Amino acid sequence: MRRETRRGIIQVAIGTAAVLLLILLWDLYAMQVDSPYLPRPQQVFATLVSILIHNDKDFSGFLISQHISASVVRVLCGFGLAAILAVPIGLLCGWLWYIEKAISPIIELIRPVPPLAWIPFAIYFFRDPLSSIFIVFLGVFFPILLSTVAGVKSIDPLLIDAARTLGTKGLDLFRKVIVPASVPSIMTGLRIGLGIGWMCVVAAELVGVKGGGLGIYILSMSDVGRFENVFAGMILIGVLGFIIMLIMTQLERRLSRWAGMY
Amino acid sequence: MGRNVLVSIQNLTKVFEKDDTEITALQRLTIDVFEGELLCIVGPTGCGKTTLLRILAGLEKPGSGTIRFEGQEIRGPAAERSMVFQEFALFPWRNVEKNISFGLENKSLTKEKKNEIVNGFVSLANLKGFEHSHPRDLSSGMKQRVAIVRALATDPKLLLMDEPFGSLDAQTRNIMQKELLKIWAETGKTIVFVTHSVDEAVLLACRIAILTSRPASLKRVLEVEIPHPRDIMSSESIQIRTGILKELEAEVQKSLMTH
Repeated sequence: MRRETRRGIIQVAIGTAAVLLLILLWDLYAMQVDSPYLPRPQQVFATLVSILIHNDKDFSGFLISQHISASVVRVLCGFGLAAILAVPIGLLCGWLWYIEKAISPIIELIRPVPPLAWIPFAIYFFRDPLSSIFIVFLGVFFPILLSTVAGVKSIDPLLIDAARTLGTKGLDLFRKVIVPASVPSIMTGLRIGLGIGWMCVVAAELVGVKGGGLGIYILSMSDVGRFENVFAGMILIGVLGFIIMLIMTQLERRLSRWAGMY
Repeated sequence: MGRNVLVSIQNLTKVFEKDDTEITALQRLTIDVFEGELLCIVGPTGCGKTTLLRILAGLEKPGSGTIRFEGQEIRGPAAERSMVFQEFALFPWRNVEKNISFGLENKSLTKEKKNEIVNGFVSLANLKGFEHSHPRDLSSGMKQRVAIVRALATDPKLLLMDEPFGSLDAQTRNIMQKELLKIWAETGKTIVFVTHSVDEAVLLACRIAILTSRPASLKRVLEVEIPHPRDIMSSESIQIRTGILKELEAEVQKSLMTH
């Protein structure tokens, strides 16, 4: 155990050193180019700390906490909607080949279209909260669907055989074996999906949203030339995404352990 | 032991098609399984023993020929013909108790009755104290004991065992063989037990069916009349064992010449 702790400390130290090195390179380069579009890291961090501490109201009238919560809510709505649809459809696709055969051409046609390409459609077709949620939804839906299908298909056929020789069939087989056995893959899909959803949120906010959002914050700060705020917003998006990932990884680990995988 | 026929297999032939080639797994196999007996099936590796068991379980469709269980054709799997697999096939998200009760959940029994059955099998399989453990925390011997009583919990008329002790170490295997005999004596189930170990067959079986190399048909059925518990080193045992090994060797030779 002590050995493991020491190893853990070394790992964190290496990671921190790499991040610090990156910031140092950033600073050197920023000094070199000396451009208003590339602020130095110390300016950015000072701005970041300041907007977080004062919870500044920017010129659009939104607090930074409102920007954050608006983005989080959009991601969660798009993600939730995608999960509610993608998991059952994925389970059915993996289980019943004819449903998969019916759905897979549609999916293969839509999947390669980047969520960004849907923005014009989303703007004209949906109203404010839905249009941005729709973009997030598009980013999240496919990873969840695909890993759910893969999960069902990779179920150990012996488990299904065992259940059948114990007299289980039809819907019971689905409910009692297929679903629980797919949980680890579903969780992987949810984790990846949420990560992509978070990446889509800035794009999603391009559809013209009310009520702020980190994407809006970055764009409006860029419009008035306050690039240290733009970078502070970017770092905020990065750190929040990182925290979301940490939570999801923990959740995934727990549920996978529940499902009997390590 | 009565001599009522529980399963009657006549001229059973099974052909698998794979990438345009046909593989005949079973060819005109004929054998009866009697009620209450422990029938061991031995044969060269890959001869089709598992296929036979899977057809009995209803997991594979029979090809031609007839296979009747209590006079009825077998159509698909059912809890009256449960199966124990070499790889245990326990549900990893269910603890011991819930694995055992899996097959009971479809039955219309009271909760008390179900608990009573599960508890009974927990003691029969020496799993007291592990009711709430998950498969990942069990030794392989314990896993297989769970799998056996899980298959017994639905009160099947026929228990199919596909090399159930094949992946266990020698020590555990010996213990499990004794446990199985104990369970068989206590429950009086009809068991069809596939194994590639002649020793195991001699130790357990009422009758031993020797299959030919693929495509498998019945080479010979042998009654083992030594009372349990048996001594594998006794002269009778050794005699039977030597006889079977000779026949199997001839089969393996034959398959080497043709393949």
